[in-house]
Amino acid sequence: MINDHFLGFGLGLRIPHFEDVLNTEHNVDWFEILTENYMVGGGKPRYYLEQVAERFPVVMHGVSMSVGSTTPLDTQYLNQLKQLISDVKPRWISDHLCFTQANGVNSHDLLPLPYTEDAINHVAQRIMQAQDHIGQQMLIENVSSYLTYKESGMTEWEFYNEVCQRADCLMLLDINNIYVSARNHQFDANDYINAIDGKRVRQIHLAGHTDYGDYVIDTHDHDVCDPVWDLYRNAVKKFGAVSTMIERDDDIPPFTNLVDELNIAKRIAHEELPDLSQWKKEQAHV
Amino acid sequence: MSDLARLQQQFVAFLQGQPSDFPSLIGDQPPVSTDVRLNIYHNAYRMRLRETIDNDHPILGKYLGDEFYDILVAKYIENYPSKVKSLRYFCDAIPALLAQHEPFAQYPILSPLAAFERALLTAFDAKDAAIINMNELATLPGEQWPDITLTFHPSVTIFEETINAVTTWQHLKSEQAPPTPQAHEYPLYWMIWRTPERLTEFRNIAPPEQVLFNHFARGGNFADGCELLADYFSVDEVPAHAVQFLQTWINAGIIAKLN
Repeated sequence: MINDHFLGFGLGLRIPHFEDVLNTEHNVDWFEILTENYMVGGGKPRYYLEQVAERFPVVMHGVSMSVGSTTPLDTQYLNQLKQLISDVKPRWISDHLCFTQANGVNSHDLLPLPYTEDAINHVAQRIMQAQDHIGQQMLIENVSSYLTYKESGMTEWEFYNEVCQRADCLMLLDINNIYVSARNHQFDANDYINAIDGKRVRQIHLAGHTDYGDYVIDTHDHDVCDPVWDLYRNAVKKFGAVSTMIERDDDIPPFTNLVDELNIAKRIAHEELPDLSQWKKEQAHV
Repeated sequence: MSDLARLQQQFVAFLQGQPSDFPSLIGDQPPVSTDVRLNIYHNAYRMRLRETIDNDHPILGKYLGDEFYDILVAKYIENYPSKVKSLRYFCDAIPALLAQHEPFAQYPILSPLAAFERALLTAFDAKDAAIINMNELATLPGEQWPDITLTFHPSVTIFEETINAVTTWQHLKSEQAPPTPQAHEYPLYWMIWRTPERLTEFRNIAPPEQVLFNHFARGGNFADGCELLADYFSVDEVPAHAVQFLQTWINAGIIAKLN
């Protein structure tokens, strides 16, 4: 049974692809925008976004809410976010399980939190505040990490599940981030996926990374690799039909290459979920 | 202060290259050393900010050359840590750094060159607004002319230069050697705006046009604007010049409203 939230298979909307998205035939079902890139008054990005949003479902993905920070939530940012939500009317919005700023300085990076009870209480409380402010449930994404804090007393997936349960938020599960962190911290990525509370998973991210042998960095500048496709297959088996997309932020290839890559995700999902073949037909009758 | 707050402060201080106990909070995870793990974050922080400067200021970068550009990047990241959510605004203080910090302050072309590059970016993603066409001017009843005021498109600005920054930008943009920096005897004014086709444009404007533009931008009306133009034209030529400026602005798509 395909649930109502399933949007199909999407891509991150990137500037070099604006014209292709609007003016070529393709089978991309939906697009994700990087929220902060559109928090500007107008001009080309907002012009193209308006047209894309008229024709395709759009979701918003933020990088700056800093739900893990210990300084007060930035209400000016939340107000801007609320305005953009009102303008774009996304199917949902998301941000990351991390902090991005401290000492009044923005790192512009997704910095990991320690996996402690205190951090769970703190971040869950902040997500609830943010959800109250914008008036809707959010999706929270797991981030890649390269270090472990001495004080962490649980696994990342225990921490992630508990935060989302207490905040009553949804999950944006990044399969590549799970792979990257599993390599960097030497755990089994399937243990992570198997432990995730499937009823909260609303969206899946796929992406590429750079492999340095002993460690891996989440760079979004390569194709999705085979082990990440294998993990995706396991995720589909466990979670069923979840809106899935590929993120590409650097060395951005032609649009058609990303569409081809997205078709791999589609093929895997169809192989694991026979019901999926009915989904487009049902959509066509809506 | 909570342990979580302390950890976060230490982490960001570490990223900035400031004294920090952050490394002592990290667990040992061989075979990758803690230093390597920490450097992934340290390098990513600096790289991301550098890429932002690269993207915003390619022409300034060309003018400075690699060695001076590296100094600029290092000084800017150190002295102006990001306080903004969007990297779109991270480089806003680059003109100030170039004007105030050596070795850059001794080259007065640098700050205005950077300021011009930023002004173009500001026009690029300024707020949208509807614009009027020539018909609205043509059908304006004669008795209303003296009292009309204008609302300009949000993307329009006037860039004032006291040194040949825009010409330098133009040369570098077209891959030519930049001219020798030359201070002007009187300021030059450049109008910058975004066209209805969402392209950023600019042109040099003479003092009468700049005076009239500033007058309207401050909410002044047509009659008072004509009086200001009397300093530049004979009285009987003033209305024709004033109308011509309005027509030019309408054609460029920079008037949002006649009030």
